[in-house]
Amino acid sequence: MTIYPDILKEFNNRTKNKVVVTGTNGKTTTNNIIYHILKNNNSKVVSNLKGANMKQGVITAFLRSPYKYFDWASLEVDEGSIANVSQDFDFDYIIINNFFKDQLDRYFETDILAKNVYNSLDDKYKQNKYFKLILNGDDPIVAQFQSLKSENVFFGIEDDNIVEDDSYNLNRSTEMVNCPICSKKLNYNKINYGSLGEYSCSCGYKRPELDYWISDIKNKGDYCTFTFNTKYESYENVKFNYPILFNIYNCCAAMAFAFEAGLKPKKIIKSVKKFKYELGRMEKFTRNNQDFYLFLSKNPVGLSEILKNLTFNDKSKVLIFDLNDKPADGADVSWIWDAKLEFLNKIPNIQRIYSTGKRSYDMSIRIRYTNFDVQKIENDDNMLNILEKCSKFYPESDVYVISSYTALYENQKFLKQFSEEMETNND
Amino acid sequence: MTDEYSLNIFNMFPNLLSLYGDFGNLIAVQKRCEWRSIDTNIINYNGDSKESLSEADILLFGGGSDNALKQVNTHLIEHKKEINNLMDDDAVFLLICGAYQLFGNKYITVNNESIEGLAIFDYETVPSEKRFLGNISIENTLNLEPKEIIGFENHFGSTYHDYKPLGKVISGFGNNGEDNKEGLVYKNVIGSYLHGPLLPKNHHLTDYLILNALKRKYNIDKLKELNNILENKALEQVKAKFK
Repeated sequence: MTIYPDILKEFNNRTKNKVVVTGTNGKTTTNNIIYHILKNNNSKVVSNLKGANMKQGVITAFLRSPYKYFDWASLEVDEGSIANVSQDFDFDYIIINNFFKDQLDRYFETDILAKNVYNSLDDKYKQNKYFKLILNGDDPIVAQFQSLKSENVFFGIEDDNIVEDDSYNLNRSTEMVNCPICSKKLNYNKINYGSLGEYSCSCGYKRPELDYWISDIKNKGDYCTFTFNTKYESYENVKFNYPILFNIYNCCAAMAFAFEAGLKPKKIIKSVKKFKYELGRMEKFTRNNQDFYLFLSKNPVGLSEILKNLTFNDKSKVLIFDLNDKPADGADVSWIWDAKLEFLNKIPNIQRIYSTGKRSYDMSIRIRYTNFDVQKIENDDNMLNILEKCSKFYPESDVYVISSYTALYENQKFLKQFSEEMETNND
Repeated sequence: MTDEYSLNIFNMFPNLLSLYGDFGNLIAVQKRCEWRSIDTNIINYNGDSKESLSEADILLFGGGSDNALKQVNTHLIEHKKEINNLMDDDAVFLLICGAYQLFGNKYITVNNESIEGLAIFDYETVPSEKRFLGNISIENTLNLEPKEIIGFENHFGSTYHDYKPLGKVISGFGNNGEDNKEGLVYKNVIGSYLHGPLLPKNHHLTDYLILNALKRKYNIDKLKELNNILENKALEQVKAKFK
């Protein structure tokens, strides 16, 4: 950047259409789905698919692209970097997924963070730069962005079968947010997960009418099916390979965008059905017919959702938690207390839980305080050891590796090595 | 111990004061009672609660945003007398971060806004030059074993007072980054900047709070021992960070 400080402005000029994804959770998945859809539409697309989402990461994506001119840029931008990136870069569409508590020691409080993003976008309008907002209507903090003088569309989920059972909220209300307009406590008619759902406030603020929504979700274990609705059409039985609710939201965001961008519905749905990505996010590895799944978990709602999804899964299983506190993870690991680890008691057939990472004992204590059987919890600071134990002592079990951010890529390597070792041995 | 013992635990303003996992403090008190067959009655106390504060044996306050603290103050100022009576009567209070600041005379935010406190304690909180952020270890003044209390601090405010501190700072910033003091102890009130959350990893402090509540209500002077292997290992893991 020191060589050519205006480089991002130059890339901005060379790109016909731009879509940016921001918010706390699901940027990378949403961006990957969008890229996949645009690619299937034969566009020259540039994207930071691996999630390097600060200004430098955005620039690097352009530098590494094989193209000189671009039909589309599909970029995820860190919610803390929107101001910085938007100085040199315009967008036609901006998707805001959600605002949850995430790495608070970096960003302090969610409402302040949302306000900063709001102000950056407002500045863009003041410079007469126009773009369309694609907003998660189920998130009360995101939906308030409708007051920007822009065109908005709202997406969300409308499905009574996925509405959360209140008993797991335990009145901790850490994810509950106050009304962004009048600061009073919001009322929820339905909670889908975290602070997402059908909310209203006595001041009149409420969930907006949705333009795009997913309904009739059927969790099939390894995949799900759902109906995608626009105000005019319904597309039933769409297959999607990532059944956890937060990924269904991401898919809804990507599809809402694709419809808004005028792509053909048939092509959009075909792309969604085929979508699979290999970035260590719900990636599957196999060794000796034993399946190992790798998950990223970096904030309370994300972790809660991963665990909730496992409550639908009857298979025999081993869970591995890998918790680090490096800067990119957030040095403050208190967020695990806001996650609903209590779901562990509802997950069938857990044979063992291994805890590893720089803050493994914080996680073990958190699990102990759910009343989960302590005898089943084991700490081990060596991931390869743990994997060996899984395959030796629990060969009949599926293994779920739930990693904090900095542990993810390391574990991906370990799992790859571990599964390939066996292939070589079998030769 | 049998179910004949029962504690009323007031979870204060859970929808406003639950920043940084402070909810874990409630779980810690609740479970460590449950594991000893001490009955707990959890009251989620909000502005519109009907329960009387005077029923409380333990009151847990977490941290909150400036906005949240203003709202809490509006409610609590009406109950100031009850709070004072409870304190004089040795009820157990845990005040974390923002709540600790709120019990002073006033605090001044980073934006130089002055927010009135409950003025129960005689101190003020002023903005620091930088955010006090990171793992912290203190040596407790309550003669608890182990000596260390560990946690994570994240505050812009500097608090200065002459009350007995909760501990001497071994590593980290504490009340103000200057006088090596962290927190406050006054009768059975503990104030502290420590998140983490504070109680689950510091089982000795949790048991201290529970025992004080039982002493006051039932004249009990000893708690059943629990297994604290994981907690002690966690302490070692965090201590290693300071080396």
